Amino acid sequence: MNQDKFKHDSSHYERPTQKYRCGRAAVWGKPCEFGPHVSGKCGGTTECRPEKIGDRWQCRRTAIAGGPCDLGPSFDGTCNHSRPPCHPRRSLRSLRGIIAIAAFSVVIATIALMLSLGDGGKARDSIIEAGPLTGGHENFTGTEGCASCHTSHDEDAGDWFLSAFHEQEMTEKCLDCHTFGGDARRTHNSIFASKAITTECTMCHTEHKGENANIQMMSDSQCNHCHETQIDSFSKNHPKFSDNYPHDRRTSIKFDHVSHLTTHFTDQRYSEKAPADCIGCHAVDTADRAVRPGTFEKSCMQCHNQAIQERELVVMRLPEFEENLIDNDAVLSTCGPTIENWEVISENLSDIVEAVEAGDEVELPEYEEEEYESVSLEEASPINSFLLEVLIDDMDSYSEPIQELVLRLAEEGTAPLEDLIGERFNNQGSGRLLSGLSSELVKRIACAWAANLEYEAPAENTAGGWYGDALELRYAPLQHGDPVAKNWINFALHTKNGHLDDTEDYQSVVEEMQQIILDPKEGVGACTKCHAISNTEDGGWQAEWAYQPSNLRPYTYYSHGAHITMLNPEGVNLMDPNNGCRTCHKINEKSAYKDAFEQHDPNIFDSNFFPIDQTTCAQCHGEGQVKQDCQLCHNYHLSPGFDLRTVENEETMD
Amino acid sequence: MNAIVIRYTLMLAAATAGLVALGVYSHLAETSLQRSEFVTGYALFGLILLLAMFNARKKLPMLPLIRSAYWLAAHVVGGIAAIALFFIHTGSIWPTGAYEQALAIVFYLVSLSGIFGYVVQRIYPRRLVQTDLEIIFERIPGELAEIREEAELEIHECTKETGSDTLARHYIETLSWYFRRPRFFLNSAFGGDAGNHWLRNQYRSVDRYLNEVERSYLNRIANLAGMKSKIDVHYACQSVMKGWLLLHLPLAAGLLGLMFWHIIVVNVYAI
Repeated sequence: MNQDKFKHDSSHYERPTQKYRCGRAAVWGKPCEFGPHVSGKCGGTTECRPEKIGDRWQCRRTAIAGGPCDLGPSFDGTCNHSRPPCHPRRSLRSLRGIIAIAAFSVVIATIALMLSLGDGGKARDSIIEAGPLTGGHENFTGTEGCASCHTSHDEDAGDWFLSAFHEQEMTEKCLDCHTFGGDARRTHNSIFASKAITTECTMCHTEHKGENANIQMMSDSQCNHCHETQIDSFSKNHPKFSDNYPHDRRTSIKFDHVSHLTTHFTDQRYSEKAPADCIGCHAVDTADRAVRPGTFEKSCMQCHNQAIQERELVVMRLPEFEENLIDNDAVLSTCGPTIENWEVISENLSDIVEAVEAGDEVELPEYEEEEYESVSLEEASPINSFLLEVLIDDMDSYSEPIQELVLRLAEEGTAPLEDLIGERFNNQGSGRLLSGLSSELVKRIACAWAANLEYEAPAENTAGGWYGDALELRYAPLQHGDPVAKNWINFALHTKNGHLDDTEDYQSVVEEMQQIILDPKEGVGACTKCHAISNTEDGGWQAEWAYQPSNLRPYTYYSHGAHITMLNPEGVNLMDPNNGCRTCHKINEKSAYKDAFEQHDPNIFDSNFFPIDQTTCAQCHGEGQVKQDCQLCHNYHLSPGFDLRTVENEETMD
Repeated sequence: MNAIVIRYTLMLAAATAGLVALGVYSHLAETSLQRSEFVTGYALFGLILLLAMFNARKKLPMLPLIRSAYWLAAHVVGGIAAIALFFIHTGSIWPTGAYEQALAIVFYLVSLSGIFGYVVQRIYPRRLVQTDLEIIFERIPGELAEIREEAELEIHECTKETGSDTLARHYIETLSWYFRRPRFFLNSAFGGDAGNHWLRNQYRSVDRYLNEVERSYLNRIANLAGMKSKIDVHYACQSVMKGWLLLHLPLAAGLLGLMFWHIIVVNVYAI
């Protein structure tokens, strides 16, 4: 190609920035010299634009187009070399600008359209919503929508826009439903109050990350940001566990693993009944943070059941009296004639018959009273003594109150006994202590005692429960967990709680009563052989009837479930020190486990097991092994829960 | 080291430093339970506005707004930095919200079209030089028209001189299609040589039926066709070099629109 033809004097100047280009060139023809007007009309219908000089029009065709033509312009100044007009086309640059503006306009128009569409706000929400909520949040925002959390959502357009310049209060909305064991805005819900750092929920929990997003996950570095002790990783420099970890109190059940494993389970008398492995007693199927021991029926009953029914409680015992203070007429009226009464009548029967036939008044001859000799030579039951506030060894003190009580029992059944217990037990359910005791039985026993006789039961008591035996009103527990026996023990412990007068004499009465009820060697006090008696927060005592899970370390989480599956303790010999549960729980055969129960502070103890050391966990939770991030074991929140208002809102909406 | 390399190296270093600073800030903010999205978001917004100003700069050549070459370098480096900053800002490749997904799609398309444009601008000029021809894009239609006129003039002369219509009929049946407008666009754009191959076939198919005089005319027509083939390559390459902006620019405009609304929504709901 001859490049000279593109020289400035050989070709016209190209203007690609203009809006239009020649229509002839657009269809691959030869473009005209002038090109289109800026208005988009064809500018090349003639070859030149003649110019009037003086009174003559002169041809102005350029040298590039061949110079002035021979014909020249017409008289009116129009060029004589005309061509049909072309249809100029938009230049590429112009086209680009139009499409760009159109694209921007389409976006803005679409947003405006979506905002104006009704459809219950769904169209509007679709261009606002940053993503699906997690499952739980998605459910409860179903009706109220975005306004459930974002207060500005339903405001009018002006306020909505202005809210962009105000900070929103999100935490308050979260607390409409979520509750915590402490101040929600304090780190860890207040235990680190001294740091005085105010927190917001959105600092850690950000939504709109999808239905299955984990919005609770935090990184270790985030934990380290606040904690003064910087921990690189659990296996590297995590602080050592506490001295007794994971035991923070003694067990509620006095089960000495050492004596059972080394002595009782190996004893030929019990070896057949002994569990084969740890899960013989511990319920691994419900294992979580704790692996609760199995029930009494599952784990203990085979060896310990019979002894329970033999542990009877003597609630009342008729003591020795020097004189009979009971009104015989009242006894005769309440209980009917005694054998002595019948003997006098039979001896004077003929006189009585005659008097009746003659219509005379019948006077029963008085029988000659023998000198009173008490049928009982026993001491009163300490429970009697306690209830009546009398001294056991002071006959002057107890004779009248006890004989009065006997007469009242004969007249009213169990009611006087309930009243007395109620007075001593602050009316905390005396009925529970006498549950199953029939008034008829009490009356019969009391009538016998009022007549200075031993009570003769119609049959031997083999089923357990309440029964009378000569000079005693007794209770035999029916089975493990017997509510009456438990309540009598609670009753005895209750007096330790400082509710009673504290005179010296009375104190001895209280102690005797407690000793007879709580003595682990006799009576129902045998319950306390296994159930620990521990201090309460108000300074009293309580029997630990149920398994007591640890309430300490609320920020620590541990699941036995996964570990048990991995260690597979089933079939691992109890005495195997290295496998199964004992991989972590090593028995300390020298521990003074039992000694801890000689006192009542549950926090003073010596576990049957050696403490678990951090290195034990680090055997698996280490670099390149099982994960070891903070949140694997630690919770951030204290006692997280939900407010009932969540449910109420739903009901209101329904 | 030439000026272009120094220019790009300095800008890349500055962009890298900025990204590292923002990345570190983002990490530290996340660690200290603070929201980094606002800072990174506004940084991304500012960067995209800066990139968009390159187009405005091109429309204002009369103003002393730094040399266009610097703007181009800033646009290229800034565009790459914007992609990295986008990931720092969102923390993921694919956001969860429908609107954010639309925003991400448009952002990716703008980025991809930009990368495509940059690659094309780097590759095609070399190919154009290899044609040993320089021609302004806007002059291609006129140039093709001139070549076509010359070719048809040769056919006329040949017919007039030899009295044979063999070459004329061959031209009407085959070559007139070729000379009418640029052909083999895609093949030329992808660096193929289909045009010349097609021409050789046409040459061989008629050559055996021509006498010496006619063959000389055919040779001149073949030279014109060869020139036209080079112009076809220019047309294809220059069309692509100009045409990618037809995608890049409107997408960028749409991205700006989506971005404005995103900023409003974020400020209303997330702060």
